Amino acid sequence: MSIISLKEVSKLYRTKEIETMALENINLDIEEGEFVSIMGPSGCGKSTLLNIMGLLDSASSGSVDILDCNVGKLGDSASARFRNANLGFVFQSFHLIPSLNVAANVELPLVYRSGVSAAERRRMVQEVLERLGMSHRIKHLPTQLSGGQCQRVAIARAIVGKPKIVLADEPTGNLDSRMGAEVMSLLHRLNKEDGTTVVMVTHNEEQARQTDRIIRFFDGHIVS
Amino acid sequence: MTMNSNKLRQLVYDLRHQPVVTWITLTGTALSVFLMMTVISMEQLYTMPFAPESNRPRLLFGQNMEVGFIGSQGSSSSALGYSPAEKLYRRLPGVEMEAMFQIESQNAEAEGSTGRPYEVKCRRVDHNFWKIYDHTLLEGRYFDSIECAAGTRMAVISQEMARNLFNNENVIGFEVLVGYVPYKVVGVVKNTSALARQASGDIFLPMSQATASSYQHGMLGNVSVVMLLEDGADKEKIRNEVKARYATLATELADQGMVPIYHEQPYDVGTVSRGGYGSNNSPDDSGYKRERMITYLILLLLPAINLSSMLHSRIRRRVSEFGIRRAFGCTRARLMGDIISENFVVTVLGALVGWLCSLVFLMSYSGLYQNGWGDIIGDTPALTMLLDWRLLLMLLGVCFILNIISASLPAWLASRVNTVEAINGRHTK
Ligand SMILES: Nc1ncnc2c1ncn2[C@@H]1O[C@H](COP(=O)(O)OP(=O)(O)O)[C@@H](O)[C@H]1O
Ligand SMILES: [Mg+2]
Repeated sequence: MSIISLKEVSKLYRTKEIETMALENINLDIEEGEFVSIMGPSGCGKSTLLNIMGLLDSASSGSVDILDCNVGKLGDSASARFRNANLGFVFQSFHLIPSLNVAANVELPLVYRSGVSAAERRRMVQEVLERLGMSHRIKHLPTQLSGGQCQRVAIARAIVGKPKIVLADEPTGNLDSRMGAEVMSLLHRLNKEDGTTVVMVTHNEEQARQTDRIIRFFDGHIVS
Repeated sequence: MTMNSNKLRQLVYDLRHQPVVTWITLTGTALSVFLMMTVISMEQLYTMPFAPESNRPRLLFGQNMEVGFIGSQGSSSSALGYSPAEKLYRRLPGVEMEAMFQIESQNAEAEGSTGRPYEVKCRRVDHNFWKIYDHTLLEGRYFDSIECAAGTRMAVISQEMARNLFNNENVIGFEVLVGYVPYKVVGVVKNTSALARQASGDIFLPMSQATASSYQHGMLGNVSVVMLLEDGADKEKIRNEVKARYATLATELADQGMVPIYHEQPYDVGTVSRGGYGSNNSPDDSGYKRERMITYLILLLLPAINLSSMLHSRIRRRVSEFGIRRAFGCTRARLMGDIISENFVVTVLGALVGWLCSLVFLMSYSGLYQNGWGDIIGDTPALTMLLDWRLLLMLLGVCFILNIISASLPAWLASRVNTVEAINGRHTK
């Protein structure tokens, strides 16, 4: 059984003026431990796909199964709990909370998990920041960090709760090539060492070639 | 709904980065609480016990009297004459003692040995007045029942008047002219706050049948009655007894073509102090309560609407953050709770400022007739009252309600934004 399984998934955006079919009858299976990259031109529905896999948005039709759970049927609090336990997110523009320091940003998923004591949270945050080489910046605010450092903190936030799946939407899109390479090696380490399933959207062919599988997208369809 | 140091730090960051909105929010809350505290405090100051009116909760007042004329539409009303006051209020069951006195002090011109005339507040009171009210006697003594009944020309004056009129504190036996009539000073009492509406004064003179004013065949005059109830006395029972005495009085007066008109007397201290009725009608307590509730409601709603839009704009710039929180496992309900509880801290902060303002205001208000800060800190009723835990608890309650009213809608709207749109900083609402 695949860790992520999409069947006939469509997504229709309806605004006052136009209707956009962002995804059309997508069938896709991703295996546990896979590192998959998704490629395709801008506006073809990559982010939409990732958001649906991440339970941040719902499909207009079709079924989405993640970890053997039909997630389309979950209510608000159940899907929040599911995200908290199983999913980690990395975004192109980092999306760190500007008013919180590095430690508090990384701690975020643990705050919403019941039964984790403050001491334990501190220990887990410390551990993950050491692993990503950011423990010397623990008290810094996001504005005091470089882009590459921000993305490393964001990755720390995504994995601190030990999720089974990490969804990364153009994680290197805002970084120069050296920092981009650094972030990529972090994601690969994560995939190898922890067996975390990674689904990543990228525009970079070279980065994509290093992953287990490339899914090419065009206009709401998978082309290969 | 818990507040940890991270949330607090974030709140401070959030407030510091939007100084204008923060200031409007804080002053708005402060103003609202200030107004409300002032209104409530004024109300409280009418009824809370403090020297020399420490017995307030146990007091009832026979304040005034209306007499109608049989066969005519006309009537006449004012404070009572001495004898109807006795007939209606003397030795009522459940009453420990009663005093005949002027419920409102009168302005008079007084002159002592310095020869400089002073405008003073003057009040005629009988010997029981000094037992029902707890003035502090500094020098001399009070007048007794015999001296009172005889209408002896003696006076008890305040410490401040002793200084003003005689430039001296040992003034026992001195003569004071009140309205050009000489009275012998027998006692000096400590100054009282003007908030002691029924017991304060500069000069106290004996009240008796002999000295009371009288017109309308003795029915009306300048006498009111204050009654000190026994512990646990039933006020309704006393009112019923008074009503029965009115009926008796009516039969007596029928010969003279007069009829006393009953107006729910005797009143308690709140009714008397609030006023708002005349000597010829009944106080409308339920109407008064309704009015008060509407006032409170307006004092709550107006700032709440304002604060609501302030909060809305304060959290608008945080939609992206809320989206991220949702992504990492925050439920809608939790998000709402967090926004509301965070706003509660801001409300309490503003309320604290408002509370301090009302403290300063009330201290200067009730500090009238006080001498120096020692007195003010010592026994200003306003201070005791504002530090009362019940009032503080109520203040917290007010904050809570204000917060719920103002924060609920913005918090709900923030929690409803689609997560993806929120993360990308778009808010449809
Ligand atoms: N909230 C939305 N409302 C309407 N249309 C949308 C919305 N989000 C995305 N779209 C449209 O759906 C299509 C796919 O968008 P997206 O998944 O963001 O593409 P990609 O990430 O591949 O660039 C685009 O045509 C885009 O304009
Ligand atoms: Mg995209």
